[in-house]
Amino acid sequence: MHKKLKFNGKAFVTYVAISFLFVSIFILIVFFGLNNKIVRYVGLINTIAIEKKDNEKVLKFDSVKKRLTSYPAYGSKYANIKIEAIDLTLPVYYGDNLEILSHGIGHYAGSYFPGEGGTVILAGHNNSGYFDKILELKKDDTVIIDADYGTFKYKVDRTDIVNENNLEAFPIQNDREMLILYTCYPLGIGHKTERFLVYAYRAGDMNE
Amino acid sequence: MKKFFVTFLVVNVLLGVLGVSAMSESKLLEKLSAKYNINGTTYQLRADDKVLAERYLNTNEVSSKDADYIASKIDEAIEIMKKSGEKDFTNFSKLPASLKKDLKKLVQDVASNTSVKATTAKGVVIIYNQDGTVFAEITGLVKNTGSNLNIIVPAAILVVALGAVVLVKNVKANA
Repeated sequence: MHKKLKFNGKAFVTYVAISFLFVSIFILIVFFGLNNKIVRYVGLINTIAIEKKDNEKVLKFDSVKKRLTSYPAYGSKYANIKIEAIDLTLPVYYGDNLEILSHGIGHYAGSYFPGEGGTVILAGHNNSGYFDKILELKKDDTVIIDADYGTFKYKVDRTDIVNENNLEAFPIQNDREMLILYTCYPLGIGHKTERFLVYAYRAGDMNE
Repeated sequence: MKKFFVTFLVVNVLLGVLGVSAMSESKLLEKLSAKYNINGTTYQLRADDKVLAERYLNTNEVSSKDADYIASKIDEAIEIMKKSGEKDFTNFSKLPASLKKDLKKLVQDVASNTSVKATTAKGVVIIYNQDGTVFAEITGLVKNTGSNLNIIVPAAILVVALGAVVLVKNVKANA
């Protein structure tokens, strides 16, 4: 004789709820405990995957004309940004739409490339592990752009907080090479009307 | 849509320039920075649009036939804008519907009859290289870089909080 299994709805709901609770606690532990490491490892995986694809296009720099002879494909990774002062290393992609910014730092297509002698504009989300820490940057901190075609060093000059409509805060020129890093301000989720900007100037390449 | 007019100028001006093959680079840059006076207001390419235009020139080749066609469309566009009597062309979406239609048609003519391809969708203008890959997406300069925190995390916080409430209630009920 087999015993008939009786479905206990209340117990089932309780088990599901407890499981859900444990999964949620696990997510929170992972997010808050390992967030920076996750960002770094995901970035590393993206870098390996994308570099493999992008290696097909070799970027060359004409140092006389101060111009790239070929440009990276839109949306592809072409550099890493390294800022030792805030322990930051992130991939830099050409373009800055939402999809691109979800992978790392985006290069505004209407700005110059590192080495071209003009304004380079890089945007990043203000999440932990992305550009949240640029708020801590101080004058003379070093920012390195390690591009596929060369390595470029910049020194932080100043920071500023501006309204998102203040385009004058983003001067695009080619008289002097400057780097502008920006993120939404203040930190947090949702639409922000202000931007935190870091202005840095070219301090030479790594051989100088 | 906002940047449609600007994009039209970028694409057209840079290609119009290419029609003059003997032009030196400095003259070319001069031409890219040219000012257009329409109904008393002067328009000029923004610095970031100029950067894009120069980059397009460096990476794409355009036949003189295409360049001539586009140059004629620039003249046509300026003529249409002058005849409209409008003074502010900085915001495409605020222009009269018939004028927008005429200008869009010119851009479509360029896209259909030359090797320069551009599309618009949800306010974003996408310009393509001649090999069909994306050259650039034209959106505003300043992007929304607020936290893109995944919805899972706030949901997890909510679930844990609810769990705690249920637990406390049960403990109280059994006490």
